[in-house]
Amino acid sequence: MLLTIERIAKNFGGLAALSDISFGIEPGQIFGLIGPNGAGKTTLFNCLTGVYKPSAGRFTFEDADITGISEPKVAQRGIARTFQNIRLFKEMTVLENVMVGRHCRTASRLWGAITRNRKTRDEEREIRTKAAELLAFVELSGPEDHLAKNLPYGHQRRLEIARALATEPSLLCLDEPAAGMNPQEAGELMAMIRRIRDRGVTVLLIEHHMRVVMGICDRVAVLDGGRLVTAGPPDDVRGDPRVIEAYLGKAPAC
Amino acid sequence: MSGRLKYLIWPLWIAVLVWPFTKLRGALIVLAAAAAGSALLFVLRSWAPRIALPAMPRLASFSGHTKTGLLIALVLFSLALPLCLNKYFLDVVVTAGIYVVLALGLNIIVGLAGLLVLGYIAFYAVGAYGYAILSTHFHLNFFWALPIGALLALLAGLLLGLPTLRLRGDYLAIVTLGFGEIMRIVLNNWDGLTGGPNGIMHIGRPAIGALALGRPTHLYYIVLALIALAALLTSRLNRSRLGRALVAMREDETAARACGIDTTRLKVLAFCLSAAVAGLMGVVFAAKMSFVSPESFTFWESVMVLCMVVLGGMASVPGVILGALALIVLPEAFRGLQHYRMLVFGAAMIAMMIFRPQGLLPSRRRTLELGE
Repeated sequence: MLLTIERIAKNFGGLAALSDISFGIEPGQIFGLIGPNGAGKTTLFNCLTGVYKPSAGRFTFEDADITGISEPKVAQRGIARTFQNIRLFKEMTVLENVMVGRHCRTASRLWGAITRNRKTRDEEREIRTKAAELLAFVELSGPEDHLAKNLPYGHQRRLEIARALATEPSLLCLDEPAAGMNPQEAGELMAMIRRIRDRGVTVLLIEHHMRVVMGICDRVAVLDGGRLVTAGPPDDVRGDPRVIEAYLGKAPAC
Repeated sequence: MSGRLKYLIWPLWIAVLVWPFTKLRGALIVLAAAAAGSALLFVLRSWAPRIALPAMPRLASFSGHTKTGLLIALVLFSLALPLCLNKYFLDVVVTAGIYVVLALGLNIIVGLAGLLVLGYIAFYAVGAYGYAILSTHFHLNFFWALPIGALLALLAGLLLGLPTLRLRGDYLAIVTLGFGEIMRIVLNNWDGLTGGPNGIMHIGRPAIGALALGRPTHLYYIVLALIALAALLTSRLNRSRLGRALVAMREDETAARACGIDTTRLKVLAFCLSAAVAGLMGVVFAAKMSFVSPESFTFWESVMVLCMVVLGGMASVPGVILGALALIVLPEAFRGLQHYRMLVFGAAMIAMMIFRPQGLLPSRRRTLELGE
């Protein structure tokens, strides 16, 4: 297992946003996390990436306990994420956004910045090359010097993914990457997620677009009301009456 | 304010503002002058934007050779300047130079990291009083005191920064404002150490062995060297991995943390760097005046330094330098207007914010932001 989630719970005051969530993600999978609004999908993401501390339970990532460690340390360990409402560095250029993603894989400090010694210059060149390479990977090579906020919406999503990939994650968590995309853009996104997996990055995906989820995920977990309804291959999940109930409500008793 | 309306309203507003001081005739003259200026600006901007924009040159748009040429000219000019200034103007220029370095220091925390600090002058005071006490009690040499003053201010920055830097935005501004006031009040009341409101006199002037370097010309070159050093270091910081991380933190702290940037440590680092620069210049100030008192470290001074950063163009090194020079030299030049000069000063600041919010020489990022 790359990531094991064991009995995770999160309470906000008296509200149980998550209770008793357990499942595991194998390396090389595209793992879908679905559920109706308010099911706790983003809360689970936030617990995993260190934004929230879970109230109970354990995350084990690459055989190490990472429960409750801070966001920068989570990124250092190799878990990258994107956000439901895109969070780019708006006043920085497209290239710089990706270069910032290299932060946790580079080391030059104040002394290097001031003296600009050979090591720092080499590292800076490497950051730039890697960032440009990732922009090419997400097909954003043209507008490198534009400000991030001036990109069209779909490109901003791709830039955010490039920035997350720049941290060299082994697990990439995407929070509704297809939100607001038309069917064609969603199709391109699916292809890109497959290519990311083919680079050796495991993908954890929150998504509402059923077509996207069922089309590319190897396994799917369904949350409802902060509880895990079921987890399994997409075809099994699709037919599960509990999943249908979570999405469409109970069938009327005849 | 949007569109063309601002060109109309601004002159009227200035005229109303000066009316109580200048009577109707003066107000009308001001109105006419402001309206003419406004009209000129409007014509330039609407009919010939390509001419109007380079009127405030963007350094980024110059080629390498032009830049080198400009830099050499600037260095020669700075080196030769003391030859053609009288003692009074030299003194003004040295003061301006001290503020240039202060503004460059504050720019690290305000311009790059985006944290609003309102009590910056407290760190300047730490450096100044540190040297004052060490010099009068232990006859510490000025050049040794420079790093010591910076270190003392850095420690003060650490002391204030560690507990407060988890605060964001307005809250941090208020805490730092409080720190500035506490510092001034402590200096004013700790008679035994700081001499209270009387301050400390007979502070040693710069000297190397028997060679006294306390004349205004000497101070000028010392300050010039410090400006060059500060400008070099901050512009290098600006274009490094750390500088990028600072700007990323300013733009979106949550996203920056998700990229693996430890924002708490980074804030403390930026805070300490800023504070150290202020401490360094505090030593220079104490040596220049050979006298320090709490009056030199009021909230107004903090605001002035902040204005320099904002006026010149946040995060832009040439911009901040220009802003600091403008804010010290212009009020001196307008001394003939006596009390009105502060009025002119205020009006100029507001006009700047209306017509050129990005500052005199904005950083490349802001030029992109407002140019497109």
